[in-house]
Amino acid sequence: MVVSGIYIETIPGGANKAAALLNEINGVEVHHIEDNYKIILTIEAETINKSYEIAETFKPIDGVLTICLAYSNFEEEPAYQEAGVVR
Amino acid sequence: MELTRRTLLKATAISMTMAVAGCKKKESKPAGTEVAIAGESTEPDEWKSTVCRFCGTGCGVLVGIKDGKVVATKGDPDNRSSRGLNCIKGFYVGKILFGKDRLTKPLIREDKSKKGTMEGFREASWDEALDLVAKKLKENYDKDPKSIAFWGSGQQTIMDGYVSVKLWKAGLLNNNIDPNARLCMASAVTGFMSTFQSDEPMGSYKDLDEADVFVTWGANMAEMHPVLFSRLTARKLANPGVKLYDITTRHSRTSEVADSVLVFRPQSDLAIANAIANYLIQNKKYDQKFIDEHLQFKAGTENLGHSFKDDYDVTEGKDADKVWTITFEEYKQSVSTYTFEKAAEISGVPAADIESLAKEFADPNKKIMSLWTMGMNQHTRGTWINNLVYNIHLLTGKISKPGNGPFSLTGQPSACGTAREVGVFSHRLPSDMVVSNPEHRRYTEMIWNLPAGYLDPIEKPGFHTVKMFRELGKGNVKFLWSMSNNWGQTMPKLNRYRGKDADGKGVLDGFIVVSEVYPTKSTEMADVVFPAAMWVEREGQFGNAERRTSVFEKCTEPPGEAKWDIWTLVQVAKRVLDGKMIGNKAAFDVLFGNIWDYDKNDLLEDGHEVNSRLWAEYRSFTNPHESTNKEIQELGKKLKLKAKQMAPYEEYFKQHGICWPVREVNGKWVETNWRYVHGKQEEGYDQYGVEEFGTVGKYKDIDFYKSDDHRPSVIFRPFEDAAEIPDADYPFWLCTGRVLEHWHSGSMTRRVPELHRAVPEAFCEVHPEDAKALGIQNGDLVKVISRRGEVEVKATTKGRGNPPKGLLYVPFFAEETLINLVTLDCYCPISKQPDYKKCAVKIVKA
Repeated sequence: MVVSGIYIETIPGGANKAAALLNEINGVEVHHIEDNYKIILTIEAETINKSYEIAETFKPIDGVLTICLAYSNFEEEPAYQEAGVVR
Repeated sequence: MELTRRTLLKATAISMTMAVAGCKKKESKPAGTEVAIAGESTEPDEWKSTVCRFCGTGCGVLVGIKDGKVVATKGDPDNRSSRGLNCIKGFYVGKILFGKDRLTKPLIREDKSKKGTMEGFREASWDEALDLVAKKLKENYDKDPKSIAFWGSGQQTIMDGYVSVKLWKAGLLNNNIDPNARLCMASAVTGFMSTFQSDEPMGSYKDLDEADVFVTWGANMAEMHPVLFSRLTARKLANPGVKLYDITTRHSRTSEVADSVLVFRPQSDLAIANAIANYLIQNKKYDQKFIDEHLQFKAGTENLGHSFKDDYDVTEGKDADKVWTITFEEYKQSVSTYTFEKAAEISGVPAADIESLAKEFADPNKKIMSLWTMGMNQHTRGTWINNLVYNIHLLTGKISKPGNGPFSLTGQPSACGTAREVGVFSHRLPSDMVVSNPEHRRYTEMIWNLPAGYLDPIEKPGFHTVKMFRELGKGNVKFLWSMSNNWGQTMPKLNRYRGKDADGKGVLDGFIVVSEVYPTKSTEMADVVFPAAMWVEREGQFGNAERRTSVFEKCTEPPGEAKWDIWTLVQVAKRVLDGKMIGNKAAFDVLFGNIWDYDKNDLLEDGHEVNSRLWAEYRSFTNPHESTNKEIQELGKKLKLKAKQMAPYEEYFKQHGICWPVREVNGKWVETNWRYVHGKQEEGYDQYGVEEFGTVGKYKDIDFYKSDDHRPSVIFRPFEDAAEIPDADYPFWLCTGRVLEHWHSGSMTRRVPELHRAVPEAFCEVHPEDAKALGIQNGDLVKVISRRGEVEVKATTKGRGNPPKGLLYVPFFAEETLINLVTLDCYCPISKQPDYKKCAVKIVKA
């Protein structure tokens, strides 16, 4: 499971309405809305690919201006697991 | 994954996101957190600090490693450029490493008839490939030194660029070295140099948090610099009076947020900028004291024509960069013809809209930030439009102060840091110095331990990019090495540079070396391909648009036999300099002996040590006072090289990036955010620069100490029309550019299936009325045709961008839709940067 933290900015006064639509998306959970233009949400998905696809669906939502990725944990993502790391 | 661990990860994700979003509330726990296993941690064993591989914003990315694996990434809150935010391409910044078609072995072309494809190669050992490249380089150099060339990049690391410059300029005494930054930043460079005599933006991303008015000049920040745009919108949303004026040739996502959108006829931004300056003068809304104390006025060569012909630089364009002093009265007279009505007539923008913007500049209480990228730089009068925007900010004194200033954004991660700062240009040396200045060459000789006069053979600039490829096409350049770029897709007028036109056949005959991570349209043209280590497969440094130098740590090994580019450069240097002497010493030892392991006969194995030693040497260009050589101290002081002072290498790891000049204050290395302003260094001002090179206490506490006579120039530049204008045969303007999902030519982002699926193919945005008149439906396949070539592409009347009638927009990321077959290679006569934003085309149903 990949868990990501996303910060969304909406047009002024648009966060509550956008958050309601965002919350309906499978894998998305809105955790906090501030000043009716900041939305904090998480995405839970099986893979990074799926996570990105979910984030892509935010773009056409009315009022959404910018989508920023703040954190992503993909410790079970195969593509990364195959890569060796120098310590 | 157990529910409890997932819950903990969610809690981590929420708290980190809330922190970087600047939420007043600090925590919001998901349901179930309370039953999480006591003592379980979501923290990786280690977070390694890096900086994003994609655009010029320079976002910090922390890479989390656990049990030897990459397990997480997060925005780096300690990186002061991005403050913990990444755009959603950040999901994939790691995954670009793992495309299935990574180049992992050197390739040598056996069948030259297959050039233009990835067929006809065989795998080779590194030794064989290096020997062959060195042999061809030496052979051609011995026959004709002008027949060799190196094309670098704003995607090379700073030290990759530095080694490239040292090999080419000192090792081979050759100036045929230029970067792909010539295609994206050169007009900003010549704009800075002609106005300020220093190549740098004087402001900071912090200005985004303080401006009252933002002006985007041909820049779609919402898609190209989303993290910075989020700062702009945050400022705007939190302060209802803050405005955005979008000056553009097509409605974009940036326009959606703007208070006023000024859609102008391509090239006519020159008239709009002059009309704003004229309004300020006619209404005495300029800052007279700022002018008296800080500015001078100039005019320059006009009626420059256009660079269609290969000999343009020595014929019609030979005096293009000449400027001379004029009086303020003469400047006023020159600009007086640019009334709002005239600008409206030329640009198509209503006079009232231009006036509204001019009035913002006229208000002494408003802080204004101008932002631009390719719209102004990729322009056949790119230097001029840069000068004109500076003129407006200088006349009103809206510069160098928090929230006030002209700010040139960059497209590539190290266009400033690599190409510009270390001088990967045909006319430059490190630290703003140029080959034509004897004192600059002498200073470089001393840093590089070369005898006096050794660099005299490189006093004349070499081939700039378009000239380099034109000469390659004509068969005069016979050896080309390109690194971290994709010229086979991104050069304009591509039929010539892919060897299809009669004057481009030399590309097929020449010996071409490409250092790359994936197969591209450029590796198709190669004779040898070197497989390169990518991003965090090695340690490196990028320098972003606000002068911030950031380092990225090595996190993983490169695949197969891929090697980092410094290793490859030094291995070629070892071979090609074999037998060459500098004074009584071996040339290789003089130039690269400090990073060579003589026992192992190889580059030092420790990549950090290599970078560290190279940085220490590069840093000595900007720290002459630390030298024990008195001549270095004195000449360095005279040349004001400390004005761009760099910190010791380890400091960049500690601070996660620092903006130069970096000053040592009470044992701490402190960055500079606002250049030329005297104030406390700890608060971001240029305290030590002004105190050492300027005068404290001048008007607004500013001293432009890098400028001639400490006075930047307001330069009169007229409107001159585009190189190619739509006519009866080719009735549309064509503008090209990028999309959010794909970075540049797509050679990395298109390896990520999801980014590829999001925007799987190029498109041609058409105004619905134009489409209707031509019988084109949304989704129809159309041909876009110019005098130089044609491509087939799907038309869209419902794209993200909405062009006005008479203009088409096609992105350049898709290698199967080579829109650069259509574009024109005319360039700015001063910066030599080609104009990808305007040429004449027609469109027909395919």
